[in-house]
Amino acid sequence: MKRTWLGIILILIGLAAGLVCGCQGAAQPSAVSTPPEFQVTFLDVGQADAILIQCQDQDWLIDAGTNDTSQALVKSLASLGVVRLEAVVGTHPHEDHIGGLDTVIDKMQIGQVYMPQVTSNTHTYEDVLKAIRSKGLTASVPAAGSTFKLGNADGTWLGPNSLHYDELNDYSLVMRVVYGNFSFLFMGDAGYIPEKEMLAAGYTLQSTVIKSGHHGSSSATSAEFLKAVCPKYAVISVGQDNDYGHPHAETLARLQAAGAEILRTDLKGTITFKVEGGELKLGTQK
Amino acid sequence: MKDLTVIIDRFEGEMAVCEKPDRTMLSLPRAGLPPDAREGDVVILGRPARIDRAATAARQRAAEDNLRRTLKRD
Repeated sequence: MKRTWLGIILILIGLAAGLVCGCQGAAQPSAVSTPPEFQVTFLDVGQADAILIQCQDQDWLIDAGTNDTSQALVKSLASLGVVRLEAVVGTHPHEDHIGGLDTVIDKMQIGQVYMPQVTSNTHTYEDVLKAIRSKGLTASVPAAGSTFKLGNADGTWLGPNSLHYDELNDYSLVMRVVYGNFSFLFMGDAGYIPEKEMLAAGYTLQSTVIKSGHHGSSSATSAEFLKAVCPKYAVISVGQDNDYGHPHAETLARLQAAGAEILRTDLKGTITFKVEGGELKLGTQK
Repeated sequence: MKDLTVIIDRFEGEMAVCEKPDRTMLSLPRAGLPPDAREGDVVILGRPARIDRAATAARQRAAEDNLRRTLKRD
């Protein structure tokens, strides 16, 4: 009889402990997955682009790094609490922008896929299209000037504005996202020609933060364009000691002349802008 | 040994960033490629390097068909 009571007591203690652990286990994920009010994370993926925008319960990814960094990118997204991406944007089909996109599409829940109406002959591009179809998804080509919602933030597609360009970079999907008093301009690798087209179209370009086009190459970020954008911060997504001399000295000089604070992923690592209670907070992690 | 075949993903200044069949990337001086080489060309890295025009055209047709099948139909 004593042994039975002892057994019952031990079972009750076990259940109580399980209940406590269960509560802790349930509390942890909800703490991790508390969605930020608004956050833009420029992930350090070397000489490539990968940008996460989070607003309330919506997460968007602009570009997905290279083939080489695809697994690390998925891990980084998971560590930021991302389970589902409401949209993924492949700004243009160069490997340093879409290399990891097939892996991201394979491994995560995906809502929409946006890409420009242009192809690449690479296996990397073929892999992305296969991943989209394997998941039962389709890709959309957004029209310049059209708008979208990203949680409570407002977005506008600003480019491309032509059907044909000589440079694949110039087909880049360009987007501007506004949350409260802060605005973010994501240029992909768009160069001078699309910049001129955006100016001519009369779009609102003024932005708190610009993701400089084409990794700070001298082929993008003209003084005329910068005058219209008037950025407080310029983020350059670039790899340390890259083979191409990015960012180019001319571009850095133009950004400095425009009064922008330059933030480079090769020097700062991952760069995060968080909007909380009407304030913009900048964080970096290397 | 068989010459390596690559696809030019992009040009970055004087460098050509090429995709190898295993999806790893190779940066080569642009000067080492045929002068008329363009992004998307399939290039056989022999001596000298030469463009495989038939393979390039075939990949381009396949990519365009692939995109058509992937795009949302309104």
